[in-house]
Amino acid sequence: MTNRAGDSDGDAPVPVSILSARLRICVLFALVPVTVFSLACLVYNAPPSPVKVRLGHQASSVLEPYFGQDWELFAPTPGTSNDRLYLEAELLPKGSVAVVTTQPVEVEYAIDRMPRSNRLLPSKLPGVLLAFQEAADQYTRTSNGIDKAPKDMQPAMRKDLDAQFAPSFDEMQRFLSARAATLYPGAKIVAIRATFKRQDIVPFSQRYVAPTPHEPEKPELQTSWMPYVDGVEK
Amino acid sequence: MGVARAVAGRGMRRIDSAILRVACTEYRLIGISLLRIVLGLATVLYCLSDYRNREFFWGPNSYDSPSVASRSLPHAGFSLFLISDSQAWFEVLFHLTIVSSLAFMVYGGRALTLVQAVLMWSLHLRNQDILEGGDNLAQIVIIFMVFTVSNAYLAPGAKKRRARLRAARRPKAATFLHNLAAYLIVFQVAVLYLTSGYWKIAGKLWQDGVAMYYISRDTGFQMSYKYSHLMSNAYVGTAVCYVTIFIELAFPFAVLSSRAWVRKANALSLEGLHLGIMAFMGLVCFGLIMIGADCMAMRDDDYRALWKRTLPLRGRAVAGWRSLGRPAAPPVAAVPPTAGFATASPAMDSRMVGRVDHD
Repeated sequence: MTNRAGDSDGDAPVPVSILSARLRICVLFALVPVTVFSLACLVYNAPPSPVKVRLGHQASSVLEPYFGQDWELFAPTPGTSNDRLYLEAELLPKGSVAVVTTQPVEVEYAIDRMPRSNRLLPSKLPGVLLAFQEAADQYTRTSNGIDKAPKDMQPAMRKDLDAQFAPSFDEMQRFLSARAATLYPGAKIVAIRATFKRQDIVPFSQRYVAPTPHEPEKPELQTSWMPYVDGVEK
Repeated sequence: MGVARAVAGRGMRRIDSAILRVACTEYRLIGISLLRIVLGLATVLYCLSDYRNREFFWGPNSYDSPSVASRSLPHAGFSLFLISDSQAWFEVLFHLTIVSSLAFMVYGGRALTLVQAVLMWSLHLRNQDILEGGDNLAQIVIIFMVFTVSNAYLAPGAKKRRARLRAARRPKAATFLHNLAAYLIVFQVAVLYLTSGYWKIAGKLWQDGVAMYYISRDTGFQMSYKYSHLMSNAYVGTAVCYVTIFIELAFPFAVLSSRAWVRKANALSLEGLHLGIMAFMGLVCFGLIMIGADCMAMRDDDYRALWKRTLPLRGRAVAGWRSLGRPAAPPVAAVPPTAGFATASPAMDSRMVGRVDHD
């Protein structure tokens, strides 16, 4: 018994008899994880269904953390609004003893446009703000849900929520401290505060309307005053 | 009893010949080599795009402090960058990542792939804020690539390596693992496109053909006003939306297709799509990684056929180039296009049409 072993160009056939027991065992052991991975991957990426409800947890435990994945690239609904991030600072101007609160300054638009300055090697800085906006969105959504929960459960739920988002807010605090230090050089910055807003993109049906419709900015989330963190790279 | 034994024997022989088919010959060698180059290049660009801001993104005094980054690590996740808070450790590791990515891109091989996997994962998990879909795919694919022969083409010594692979034409566990890993990469990419296409076709804005209009107006992905203007056109915007969904959903079927032109057309369309994403949306690393993944759609024979098709073009280009240096002589008489083609062809054939692997 011989086999062409996948060859298509006339090389000498390879006899089946040369398959060793070691290779057969190796094949068996290798096929098990590959089959498990393939099935788990299909379930993990499947749309919501009764099967996913039953097997989703097992699929996640197979794939995460090293094979965790999310392929909803700009889907099902791409963003229909642009995010805005306003930064306020409490600072002591040079030679002054009175704390001054600055006007909110929009910092996101300039950062979003940074990749244009180097198209071959665009900066990843806009990605940071995207991550902050996602965290803010998620925090707001969950917080709104907590408002509808029974009153006596709300404090504990809010505490859990704050603990869950503590790393994100730590990052924001450090990021905005660095940004404020760049915006107000020489001033002694005491605290910073962020306000997340959203501005809808002009709807497709109104794209050629003149003058261009002005979409209002809608506030999403305002952080509390966070102490300024010194020593963050700028 | 005798019949049962005969049936069992026939079944075993079938299984054996199936094993032989995947244990004797390495498949997708060219696709994996291209993927290796692209992954290495994408990691180098990932580091260089924010080289001046490296401390801000990944350093010990980053806005994403080591303590916060450690808390954000997934269960069983790791990052070598978080082992020490020292500036020297960070600098050494960061530059080692660039050097190792370059070495991986040029040389490939299992050991370098493993080093690349560890360093790339470390860099990605040091700051997860700036990751995107392409990085997610790169993280998964690099694990599979550890088991593959990633330097059989487009690497120093590739010709000798192919000759060695060809000489050792007997069933081997390493060959079997290579092919399983190649299958997993193709399978993962197919799942990616199927999922992405499914979610798009389920989205109202994609169905309406206006998704590209909104994406082109997102300030985070708006690299040019001309592009936004183009996507405002009802016909162009709708066509781009529908073509995107179509070629994404077609990928798994194209990979399984026995017709070479289907695989080539699908892979080249997807590569065009990702070139567009790189140019107009500024997602250079994402686009590069996805182009690398698209390269896995084609079999080695498809690449050889494409390479052969470009021979006349290259012959003409060489002839044209040579004729530029001799304006007085008629180009055809000086370097006949057929002569250029004829001289280039055998050399290229022996290099690219080496009978080593067959899909």
